[in-house]
Amino acid sequence: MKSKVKSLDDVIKLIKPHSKLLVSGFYYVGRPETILEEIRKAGIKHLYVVVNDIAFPDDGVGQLVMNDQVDYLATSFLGVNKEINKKVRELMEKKNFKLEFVPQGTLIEAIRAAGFGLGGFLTPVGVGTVVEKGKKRIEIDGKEYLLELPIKGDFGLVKAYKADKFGNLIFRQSARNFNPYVAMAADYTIAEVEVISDKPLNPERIHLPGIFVDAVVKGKKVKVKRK
Amino acid sequence: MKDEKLIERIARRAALELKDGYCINLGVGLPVEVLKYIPKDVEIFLQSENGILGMGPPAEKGKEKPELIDAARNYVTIKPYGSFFDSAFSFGMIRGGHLDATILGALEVDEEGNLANWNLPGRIGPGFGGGMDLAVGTKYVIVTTFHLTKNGKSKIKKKCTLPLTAKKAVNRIITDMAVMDVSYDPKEKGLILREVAPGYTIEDVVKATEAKLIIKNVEKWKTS
Repeated sequence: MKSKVKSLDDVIKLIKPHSKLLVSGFYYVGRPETILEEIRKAGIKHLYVVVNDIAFPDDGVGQLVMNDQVDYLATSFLGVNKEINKKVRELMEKKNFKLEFVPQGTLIEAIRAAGFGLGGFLTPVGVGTVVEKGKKRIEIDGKEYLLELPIKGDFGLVKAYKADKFGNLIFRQSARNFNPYVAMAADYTIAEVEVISDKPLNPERIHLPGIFVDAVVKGKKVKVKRK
Repeated sequence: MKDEKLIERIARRAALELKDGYCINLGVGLPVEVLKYIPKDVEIFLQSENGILGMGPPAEKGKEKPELIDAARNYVTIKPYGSFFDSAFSFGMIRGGHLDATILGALEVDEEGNLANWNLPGRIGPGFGGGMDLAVGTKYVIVTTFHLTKNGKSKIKKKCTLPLTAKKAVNRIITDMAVMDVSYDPKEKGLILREVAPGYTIEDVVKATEAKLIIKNVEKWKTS
């Protein structure tokens, strides 16, 4: 078996302008901070990014937005940080940037649907709200649902605690979040991990089977962020 | 009365809604205050939409785990019987109606049970987060809010004017003035006034409420 362990440089080179990135994470937890930092440094532009939240200008996908690298952003939460809100407003006014708010449960399910080979799903969430715009409403047994379509990516960027050479992944605590589905919904998935095991991981402990992972890179150790 | 006192009153009353063994999700802000007033003999299991059920109190300084946070980005702990899971599971739990209740904040709530709490005029966001899913999917949706805005306007509307979080989703509204239930009976639409807070009369509540109130058998403010 060929090891999936690669260098950061090798995987960053694969990401071209206009790539569609699915980024895992809730705040910085379960988010591939090392990879995102490298994407910022490489200055890859016109990215289409799907991520649960932005919240801050100096990390995660926030740094890519601040650096004018993102053309389209689908997210459930932008937060109230003044700097990032100001930037997003400027970009929207210049009309070379599109922001789409997606309810969190719909966002993860749309990514999951893509990974599971489904053509979409029906959810009651968003009926009668701005989310409904441009979507088909379907009634089943007297209840109204919106037809939501799958969200696929060119690249899935995930972050786990530990990997083996086949790309099997283990997460810690609340870090699983979007990871399993982001890994499944992208053509090429890069897993940033803190520990790469020389030996195969214990099958009883694996959260995400390596079939969904194309490359494993070593990232920084995650630390507590003091507010 | 000062805001903190009013928040305490709302939170104390909302805490009485929670029964032993309940699995619930609390919105940020006022709803989280409810935790302070849960009776000792009631054990609840807190769900956090980023993938925790059975979330414990905030982590002690120096003992935080970098990947154990709640949905408001605080470092937390996990209680006995707790579990971790991914976001699809988490929202399956929420949207699938598996939680016993959720307590959410509101910018506006109206007599049809519509809720607005994700966007203010002139703002881009902050965004929905998991709020829409919680409001739509949870079996019992409790809204905790001040009855009036800072400018003295009723937050309990005939019809919400702000962008909606969910339609016909709210079951119970607990404010500093009253407890009200949304009537989903097509023959009697409106908010059923259940309890009036100490220091207020029914007339005071009527005056402070834009929504239609259904008034019969109003009870004393519950304190235990």
